Amino acid sequence: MNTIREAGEALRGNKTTSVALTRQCLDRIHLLQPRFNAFITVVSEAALAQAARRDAELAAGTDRGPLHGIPIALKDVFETKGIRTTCGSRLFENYVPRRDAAVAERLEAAGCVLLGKTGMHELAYGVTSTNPHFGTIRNPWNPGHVPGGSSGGSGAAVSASMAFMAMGTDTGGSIRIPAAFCGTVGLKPTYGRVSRYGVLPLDFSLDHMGPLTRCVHDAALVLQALAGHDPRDHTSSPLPPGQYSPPTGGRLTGLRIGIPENFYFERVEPGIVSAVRQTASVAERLGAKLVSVQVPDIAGLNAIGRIILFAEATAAMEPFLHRRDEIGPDVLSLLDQGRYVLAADYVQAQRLRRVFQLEYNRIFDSADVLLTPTTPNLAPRIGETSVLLDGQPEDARLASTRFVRAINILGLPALALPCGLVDGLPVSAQLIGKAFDEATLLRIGAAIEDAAGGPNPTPPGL
Amino acid sequence: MKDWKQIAAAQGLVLSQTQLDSHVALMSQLEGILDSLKSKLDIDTEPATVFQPAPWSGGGEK
Repeated sequence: MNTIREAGEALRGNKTTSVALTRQCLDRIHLLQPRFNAFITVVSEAALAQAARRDAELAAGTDRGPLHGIPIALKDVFETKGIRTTCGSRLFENYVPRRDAAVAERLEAAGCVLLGKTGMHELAYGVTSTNPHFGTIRNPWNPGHVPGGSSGGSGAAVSASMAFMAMGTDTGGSIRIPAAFCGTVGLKPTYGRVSRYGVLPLDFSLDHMGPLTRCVHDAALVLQALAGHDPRDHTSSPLPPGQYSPPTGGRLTGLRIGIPENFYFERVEPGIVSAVRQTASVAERLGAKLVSVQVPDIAGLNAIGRIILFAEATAAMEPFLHRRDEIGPDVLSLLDQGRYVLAADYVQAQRLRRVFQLEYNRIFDSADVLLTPTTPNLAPRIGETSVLLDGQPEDARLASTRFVRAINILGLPALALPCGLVDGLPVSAQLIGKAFDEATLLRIGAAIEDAAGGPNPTPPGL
Repeated sequence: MKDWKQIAAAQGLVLSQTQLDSHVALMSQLEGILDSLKSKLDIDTEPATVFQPAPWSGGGEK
C-alpha cells in the first residue's frame, strides 16, 4: 500500500488504521535513514499520537477528507510550530518556530499526520542535496547518485515509501528535479496558487510550494487541500481553486499536446528523449493531438532568471551573510554572486520577464500543454560536478535546471511525471500548463500514468 | 562591459583569485545575454513584479 488513494480506501474500509500506516512509515524511516539520510527530524511519538487522534475522529464519524490519517513529511523549510526548522543550514539549526506555515496548517486541517522534516540542499539553494551540515542525501534507486534538490529528502522519502507524500519547494526546479531523479511525481503549481506564508524564503518571486507523491492522483488530492487564497501571502491568488482530481483511466480526446521543436530536445541523454517521445505516443493513443511548437529563447530566459535569483536570494539572506564560516562553499559562492547584480540590471531582468511571459503564453494558442523532458540528464553521481551530454561536458547544476528554471520565472504550473528507467535510474517527462490550469496537467498526467500501468515501482530491494 | 573585479572590491568581497575569476566569467556571460535581450524592451514595458498598495488596516499595524 503505497499511495494515498489506496491508504484512504483501506482506512475507510476498516482494513487499516492511521496508527498502523504511521507505524509502517516510521519503521521504513528507521530502517532506511542510515542508507539514504532523507530526514533531518523525525517526530515519532507526536506522529503516533496524532494518528491515534485521527483514528478516534474517524471512529466518531469525523472524516476530514482524502488526506485524513495519511502520514506525510515536510521539507525542512516549512515552519512547524514547536518543531525545529533548519532550512538545511547551520544558520537555522536551532530555530524552533512559533507558528506553522500555511501549508502545514492546511495539511493539518485536512487530517494528515506529520512524520517529520525532510533533508534538503542547504538553504534550498542547489540541486544535489549534498549537505555539509546534515549529511549527504542519497538516491534510493542507486545510493551512489544524488536524489536531486533542493527537495532531495522529500524525493528520497517518497520514492522509498517512507512517507505517502512529502512537500517540496521549487525556485528553479527543486520539486521537479528530485521527482525526476527519484522516480516520483512532482507538482509545481502556478505561482500564487499555494501560499508561501511561513516558508523560509530563497527567492520571493520564484519560490513555489508543491507535493512529491507516488502517483498523479495523489498529487491532485494534495493540491486540492493546499490551494486557495491566503491574505498573509500578498502574492496569493484570489482566484478560486479548481477541481483537481482526474478521472481514473481517462481519455485525452480534444486535448492538444505541444512538442517543442527547439531547445527541449537538444543535448539530452538519448534514453530520456526516447522515453519522453514514448510518453507522447501514449498520450496520442489516448486521443490527444500532438502539435509541434516553437518555444521562445529559453536560454535567455534562464539567464535573466539567474540574475533575479542571485539578487533576491542574496537580499533574503543578507542578515546572515556575515556568518560566512557557517555557510557551505557552494551556497556561499552563489550568495556572493548576488552582490554583483546592479539594481538597473535587476529591473531590466524583471521587465524582460514580462516580455517572455507574453511570448511563452502565445504557445498556448496552439497547445493546451507542453511535453518536454524534465531534465536532460540522469541523476549525477554524488560529487560529480559535470555531466556528459552529446559528448560535451556540462555543469551538472546548469544541466539539471536547464528545462525547469524558466517555468519558475514564468510562474506556470508544471508536473514531473516518471516515464521509465535508463541504466537503472528514473527518467521523467515534464508537462507545462497555462497559469492556474493545474487540472489539465493532472488530467493528462493521470491518464498517461494509468495507461502505463500505474505508479512507478519502488526501487529494487526496497 | 562592467569591471566585475571593481564591483567585487566595492562590495567588500574577499575571494581567492580562482573564485574571483569564476565570478567574473559568469557575470560577464550573464551581462552579455542581458544586453542582447534589451532590444525586446519597449519604453513602457513594466517589470513583472509590480508594487501593490496595502489596504489600510487601521493605524500602523504591520
